[in-house]
Amino acid sequence: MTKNAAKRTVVGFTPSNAEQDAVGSARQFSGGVQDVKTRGPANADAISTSMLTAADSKSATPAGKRPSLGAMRSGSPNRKSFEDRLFSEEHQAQSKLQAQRSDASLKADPTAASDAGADASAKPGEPQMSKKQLKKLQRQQQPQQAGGPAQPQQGQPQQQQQQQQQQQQSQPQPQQQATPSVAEATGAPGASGEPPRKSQKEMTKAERRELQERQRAEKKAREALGLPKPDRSKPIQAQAGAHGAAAVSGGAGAASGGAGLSAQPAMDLSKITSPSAGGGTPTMRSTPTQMRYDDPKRRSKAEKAAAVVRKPAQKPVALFSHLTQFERETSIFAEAKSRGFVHPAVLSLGLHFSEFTISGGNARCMAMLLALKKVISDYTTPAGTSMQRHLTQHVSKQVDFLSNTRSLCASMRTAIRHLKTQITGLSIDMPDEDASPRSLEWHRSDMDMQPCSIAKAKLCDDIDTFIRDRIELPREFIVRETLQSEKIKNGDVIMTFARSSVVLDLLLEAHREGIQFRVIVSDGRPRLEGKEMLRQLVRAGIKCTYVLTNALPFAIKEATKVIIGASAVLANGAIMSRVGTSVVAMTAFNAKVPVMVLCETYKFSDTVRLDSFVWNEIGNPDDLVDISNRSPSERLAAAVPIPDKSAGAKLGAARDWREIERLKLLNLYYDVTPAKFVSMVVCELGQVPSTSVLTVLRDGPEESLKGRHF
Amino acid sequence: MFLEQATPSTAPELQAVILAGYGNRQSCSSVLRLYPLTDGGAVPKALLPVANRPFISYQLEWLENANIQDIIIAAYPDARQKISGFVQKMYEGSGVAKIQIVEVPDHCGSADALRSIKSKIKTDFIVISCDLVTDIPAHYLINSFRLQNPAMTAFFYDAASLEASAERPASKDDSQVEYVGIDDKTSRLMITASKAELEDDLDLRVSMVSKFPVIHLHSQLRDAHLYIFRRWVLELIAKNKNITSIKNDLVPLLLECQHRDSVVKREGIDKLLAANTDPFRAAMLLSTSGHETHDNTVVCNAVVYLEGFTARGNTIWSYSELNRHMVKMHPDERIPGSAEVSPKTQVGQDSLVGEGTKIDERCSIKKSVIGNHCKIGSNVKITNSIIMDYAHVEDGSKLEECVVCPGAKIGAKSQLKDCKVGAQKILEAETVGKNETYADYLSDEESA
Repeated sequence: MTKNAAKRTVVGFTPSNAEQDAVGSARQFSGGVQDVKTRGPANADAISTSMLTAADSKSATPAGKRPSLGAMRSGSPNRKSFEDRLFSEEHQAQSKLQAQRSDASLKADPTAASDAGADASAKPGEPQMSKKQLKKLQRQQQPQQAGGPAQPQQGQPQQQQQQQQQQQQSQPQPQQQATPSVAEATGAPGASGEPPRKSQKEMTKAERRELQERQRAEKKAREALGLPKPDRSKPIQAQAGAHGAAAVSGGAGAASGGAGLSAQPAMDLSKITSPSAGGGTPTMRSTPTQMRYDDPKRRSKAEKAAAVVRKPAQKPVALFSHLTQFERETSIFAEAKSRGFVHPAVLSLGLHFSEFTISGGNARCMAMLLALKKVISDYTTPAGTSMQRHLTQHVSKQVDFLSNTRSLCASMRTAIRHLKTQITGLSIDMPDEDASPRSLEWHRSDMDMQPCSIAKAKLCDDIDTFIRDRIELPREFIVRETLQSEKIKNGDVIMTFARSSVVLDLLLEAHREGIQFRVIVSDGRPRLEGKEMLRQLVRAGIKCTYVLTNALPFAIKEATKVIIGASAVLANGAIMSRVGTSVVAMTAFNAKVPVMVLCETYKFSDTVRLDSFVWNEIGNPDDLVDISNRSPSERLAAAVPIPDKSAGAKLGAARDWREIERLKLLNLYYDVTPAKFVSMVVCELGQVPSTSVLTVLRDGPEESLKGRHF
Repeated sequence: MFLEQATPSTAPELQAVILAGYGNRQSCSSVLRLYPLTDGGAVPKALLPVANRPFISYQLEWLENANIQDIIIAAYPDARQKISGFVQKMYEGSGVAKIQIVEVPDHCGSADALRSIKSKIKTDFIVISCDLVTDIPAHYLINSFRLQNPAMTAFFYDAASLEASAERPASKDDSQVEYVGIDDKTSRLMITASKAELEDDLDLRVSMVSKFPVIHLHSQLRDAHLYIFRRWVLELIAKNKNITSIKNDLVPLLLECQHRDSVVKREGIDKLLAANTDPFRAAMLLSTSGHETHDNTVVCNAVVYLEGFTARGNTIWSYSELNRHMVKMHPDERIPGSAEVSPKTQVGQDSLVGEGTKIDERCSIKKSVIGNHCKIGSNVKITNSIIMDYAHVEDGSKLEECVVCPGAKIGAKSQLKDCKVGAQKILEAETVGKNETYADYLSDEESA
């Protein structure tokens, strides 16, 4: 296979022509580039695809090379100046730094991380991350030399994976190579040099048996080597993933779309359940069921497992049939199959979610953490189980219930992953608490005396820390960072979209500091969250204009800056945000108005989505029919019947849209703003290009924040 | 398996208190409303049959549908035995709910009753009166309580659903008329006043009008006496001994707190509020939908449910009307197998006959409920009436719009219209009465 691949070499991190020209120097791309032989017309896609693989195989090659920042850039003219400023001097330094980092982590040397922290603390007010890294680099010149030679070998497995990914796209039978790559990267013997594999259906009986034997042998070998036992479903999943990718890329004709699907890290809870299980196995993940809802098999499976029985949408829009679509019904709380194991706090939170009294990434994440804190403090470990195992399960059930009310957003996923890591990590602190009956008794009696046992107190403490360090402090820092770097000046006209808690904080703070500026709040139906933004800004005394998105081309002429919030920043630099944001960003891009996105790093996601179709959340179509134009806080939650009958009657005319056979309504919640529309992202680490998500994720925001004083 | 073990560890969200009063000794305005039906300790109000099922079974069923698993029945000493007898022997619930019957002091108001069982209530709680029959989906109420974090959620129903259905003499239940003021935008409850207690005008406080300029005043709505309270309200009741009745003292006090800060301070409610903030407060402030929590203010919510059927059987008229309605809704067979009904007798589709009842030939029964083990002679005409268990109606009698209590005996060829016959009362043959009350006790207080 290696020989075969060498001929059709696809290169890990090749800059596109445009990028090379822009930067003018190829040596900046010291990443895993070995050989460039072919560069097809689909080169841009190839790059993005390989990036995806890199993102996905993160855990697979812990010490492996990372994509350099430059490789991810797009050649948009608007961004160029910013990027040049950010990268041209230090880029090389940065990539070297990465190599050094990986080397350090290979040696299991924790000093590198703490170094970063110490360095950061040395200059807390420094606005730009890159400058700091440059300094660090100067200090670390020496070890970096040693780290250099190690590069190619470490890059190897990852590179092979990229080749794999590439072949999936370019070859007519993409699934052939998928499984071998998994095996190879795991280091299992006997996997290389295999003939191309057919799908199981095409095989003869003998072939199937052979495959089975081989898999068994692999498993034995793996056990012999002492490698962690792989997830039982892995090989099948990997196949399914490749298969799905093939199907999509073949069917839609859009190779990139297929890649987007296959590279999607699992959205389902299984990932969250085993946060640290990544070990050494590569994670080729299947498409989550949430996004393959049109497959009847998986659908029925998912429906059986669901905590809440919900009625599927009666008039689903065909283009989105791969996503879950439900009729809105308030009775789900009465009919919850989940009786008994869902904590009351979670129940009411679910209601808040589905009625949109709590919405937005920060609010939902924080509310969820508060509810889970309550769950944990009310929790007692049943006899015969251990807290680590049972509590994880228990929390999963709660989260599962919440995900049934509205799908989880990136921020919540991060928080849940963090919490579960904390729970599983407990065993180290209390090694045999649950093992012997005596200690169990102690545990019980301890609980009777005080409401929280030590472990629970620790978890609650962890949750508080998370809320403070990842949600609240970053928000303050983003505000201060933006103001310190004078992003809002006297006379500015700032356009924003809908309501983001960070943007609101920023604008209010800027006003408090006495900066004279004006705000244009743009907004879109049906949620009209901008009205709430407007209300608070006006209350604070800021001059405001309110427009709907259809007036954007006119309003953008006045604006000097666009500042928006985000639900998630994706690995390819795209911004997932409230539907309508993309239009605003595009209009601003065309009008050459810079677009700033304010986003805490805990919303950074290693997921890649290339458009809004791959994943989205579908809301209640009836909301589109409601033309009352009330702002969300004025809207009575539908769970409570409206006392005034006439209020309901106003909707009457369009209420029966369901009877019109050819009419379907689509109410999407999110859209994807491509990276090229975004000038920069301000996070608590400073101002970064939106494409540097992977770098931020890899460096671990926790560590870089550790020494930082807000 | 693990989860089942874990279940008891999660604290219940809501507990429920069923106030099982006597019905004719209520401390509120209209005494003797159900006299003589619940008189003489024969039948507590909670066990009065509605379509041959005791009242309390309707509330228990509703609560169990609402997934409330901790139900407390607050009963007067006399009634306690009987109610517990019913709950233990006859009531077939889901078996999940834990039902306790607690004795409260005789002759005490509803708030007093709550005060006396304070130690048993650990969470937010539902208070439901034992004469309510409703089909409002419980989650309407509970969701409103969850979403808006109020101190109290009260439930109002449209009186028209019952009152308009029958040709009701307008003068009869004037005391029932209530004025309910609701701020439609936030569905906050501002005013409740009953017509009986008002003199001529309804006073509105300036502080209220300035704070809530748009209030919709309803006269068709009735208080169902179904409330959900936060736990801290119980502390308030415990502290302030002047609160004796929920309807007359507690609710007005809470409503006043919504717009008068001085009252909040005087009653020490601000401290209670500060100790019981919305758990999601911090998150609400960030929410893109701009919902804000009401910091340190009392919020009273009204849930108005205009569809469906809700009624209270707190007067004889509404009680019999309720019976008629529930018979219509009755899903099962109207004449059970154990009843012996002569084939020559007509039992209308809108009537219900209890178990073990014997009805002789040539009778006509319309729009009526006949209890269990009754004996009806031949040639009896019963229209629009309620005959309770073990009653005996002899040959040739004619009953119209009557209520006959358990064990009563009506002599042959009696003609009764609009009459109430007390428990164990024996009427002689050929009694003719119109709008009379026959009972052994308190007979000097016959209502004219």
